[in-house]
Amino acid sequence: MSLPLEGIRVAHLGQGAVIPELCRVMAEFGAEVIKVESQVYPDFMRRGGRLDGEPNLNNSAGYNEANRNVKSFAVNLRSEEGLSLVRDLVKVSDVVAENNRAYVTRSWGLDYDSVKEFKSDIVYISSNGFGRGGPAGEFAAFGPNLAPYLGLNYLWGHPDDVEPMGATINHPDHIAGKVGLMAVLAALDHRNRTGEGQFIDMSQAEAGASMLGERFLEYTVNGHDPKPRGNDAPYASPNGVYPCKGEDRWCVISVMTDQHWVSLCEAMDREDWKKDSELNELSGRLNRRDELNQEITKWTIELEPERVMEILQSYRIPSGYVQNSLDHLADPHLKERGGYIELDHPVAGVHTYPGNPIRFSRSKAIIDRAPLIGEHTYDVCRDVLGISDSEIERLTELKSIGY
Amino acid sequence: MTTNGPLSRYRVLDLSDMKADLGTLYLAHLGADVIRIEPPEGHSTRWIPPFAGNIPNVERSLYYLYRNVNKRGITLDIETSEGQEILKRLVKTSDVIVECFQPGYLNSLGLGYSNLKQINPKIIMASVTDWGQSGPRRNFEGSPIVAMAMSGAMQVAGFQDKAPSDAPNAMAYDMAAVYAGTGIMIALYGRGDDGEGEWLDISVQEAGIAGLFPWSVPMTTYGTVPGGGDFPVRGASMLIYQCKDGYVKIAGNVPRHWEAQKELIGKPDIFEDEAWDDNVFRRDNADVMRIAYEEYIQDRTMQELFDAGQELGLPITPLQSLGSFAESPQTKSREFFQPVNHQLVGEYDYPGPPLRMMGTPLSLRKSAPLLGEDNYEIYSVELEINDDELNNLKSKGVI
Repeated sequence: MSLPLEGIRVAHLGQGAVIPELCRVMAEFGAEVIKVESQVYPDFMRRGGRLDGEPNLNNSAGYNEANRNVKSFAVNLRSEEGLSLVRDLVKVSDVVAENNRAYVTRSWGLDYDSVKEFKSDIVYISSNGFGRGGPAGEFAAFGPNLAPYLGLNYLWGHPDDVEPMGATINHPDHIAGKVGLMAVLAALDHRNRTGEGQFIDMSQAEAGASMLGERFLEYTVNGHDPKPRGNDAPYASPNGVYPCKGEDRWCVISVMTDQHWVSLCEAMDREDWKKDSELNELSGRLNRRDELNQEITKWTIELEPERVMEILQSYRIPSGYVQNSLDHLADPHLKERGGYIELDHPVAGVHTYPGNPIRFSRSKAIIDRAPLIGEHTYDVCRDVLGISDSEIERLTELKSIGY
Repeated sequence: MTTNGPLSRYRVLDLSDMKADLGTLYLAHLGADVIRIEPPEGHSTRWIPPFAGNIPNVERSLYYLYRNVNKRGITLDIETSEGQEILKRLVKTSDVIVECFQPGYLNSLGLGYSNLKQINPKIIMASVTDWGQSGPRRNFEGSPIVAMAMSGAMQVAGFQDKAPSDAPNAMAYDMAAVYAGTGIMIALYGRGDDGEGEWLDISVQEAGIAGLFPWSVPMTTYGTVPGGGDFPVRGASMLIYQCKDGYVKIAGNVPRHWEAQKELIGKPDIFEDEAWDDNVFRRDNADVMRIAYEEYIQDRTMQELFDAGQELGLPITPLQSLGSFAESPQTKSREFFQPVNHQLVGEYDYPGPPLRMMGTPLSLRKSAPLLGEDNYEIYSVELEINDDELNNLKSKGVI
């Protein structure tokens, strides 16, 4: 059966994570995504990997994860002929997706204002760290810059931390593309009905901030600039991470309701807590959370984290454990659902990657490996741009393509 | 309801909770007519603290106020047969229904996907649950911190010598919400005006992995874990530096960034060794770099470093509080915050849509609904339920 996004062609001028991952999801649901790149100036993510100590542009874990299912079209963007090929590609595409600094696409003659002159119904998304316009509209930003900039790093920690740490992940790198994709598909739907294309200007910082909206209202409505609250939550207590048996092993427990609390007392065999009327309500449990956390730690420290989850879930208490990648690889639940999949890649070999979490009853995502650099240059020239073999040969010799 | 957003022809029935309310918020931002359906006593998220003015009240939860702007709201008890009939009538004229109940719950009420698609074959149903509709843990309980832990992101959050640190909001739940919204858009696009609907099964755990840390397992199997080791750990490869008035973060990913970094700190001799030109080497020797940077950075302000870095094309950013982000010239210039007037809470600035669509502008059109605010409009005007029947439903506690 046909996939939902079949018939859409995307000219992909992005690199890194946000736009590649937007494009990848489109490709896994049937869109034809053609990624413009070059061996001389490759997507910086291609430099992220190494095997046997040697860097190899085809052997980066991050690149090979973020660029599944797309076609790689190697073009020399520093040649007029190369740029002209990319313009030809845009002419037969529905979407341009890019995350370069504004001056870069302008210098290529491939910014929205230039493109709409020769392809008026294009849906064009630019994703920038700080969004276009304003004093920082032309500034550079990469994933690691955004969590600090938007306020997330400042808030993500324990109240007694000596300095802000946040997390090693580059949020919102892996989710902003999906926010952008919602807008791209809405714009394509609008184009199909009206014939009108448009420019979509996404700020990755705003995408991250829009996922912290209620925390921002603490500032704008209540006049209180929020401070780190560690693992406490205002809606649950006890709620937190507790050390378990083993090295760096932790379980998590959330008492979200009074029923969960009664169940926890039973699971831990704490009749005394059950009889303590102060603890029957969330407010009492919030006031005495330090005491409760200490007692729970005495119980969890003797147990494996998986065991804590097993026991507490049998009492219907929200619980789990801090999983690392080895836990994910061994997780029977993820395994049964196909949460991770294996892909064979001619250079990187067989590796495990996350599946596509969008699971429909009818349309199944097709997941294929990431391309070698320039792997589809010939196919794109011949099948998409209609260039003859002799001309392809000439362009290759000129180093306008395959470069 | 008229809107300017591109999705204004679509109607979404929103039976979500914390696991999907951000996804329906984005659909509402894009112009869809999102109808938040709550039990007559109000949705549980109306009681998430803190509250506007710190006054606990069903209309004042900041969480609810933010996540339900641009949505309409009705009350309906779907556990009564009358309530179920009304929901089915709404399904007839809707495109999407989003729900977050335990697997099997709606089925037990005769409101599962197989029931609803008979009423409306075009309906797209998104079910967002902690563990998904299948697998050995499908009936397990979940929570925001459990979701964060199971996503793998918490393993790398905080300091290695302390407990892993939870995100300052229900972040893994929001990943599921965004994936639900994305899946809904894919299904809507594929369906067109006349196609068949879909049932979308979103597992918070899987969405958390994909949305927060998809590289964790591949980095492990490729053997490219930052700093070595069997799997990524906390505190690795963080380049946060203390400066005169706070902290900054430096990101350098491409060769020219490395040149710019050396330039910025006055080209110290130590970096003349070619080994430093390899970014993997630099990542693995972050501690040495740190010492060299600290000397330069400690006497300068966040703004000086932001500007000096950008002058060299080097992405240095200040580490801001939420308040500083909200007040920053860039945020102000883009009008990311927009005023929303709520009739009980008052007028305040809210974060708006995180992107600008030039052809179909997006905006904050209305405040979160009061409890049952749109009952009259939807039940009387749109479903044409007469006053007697409406009063009957009210007295039975259905609405």
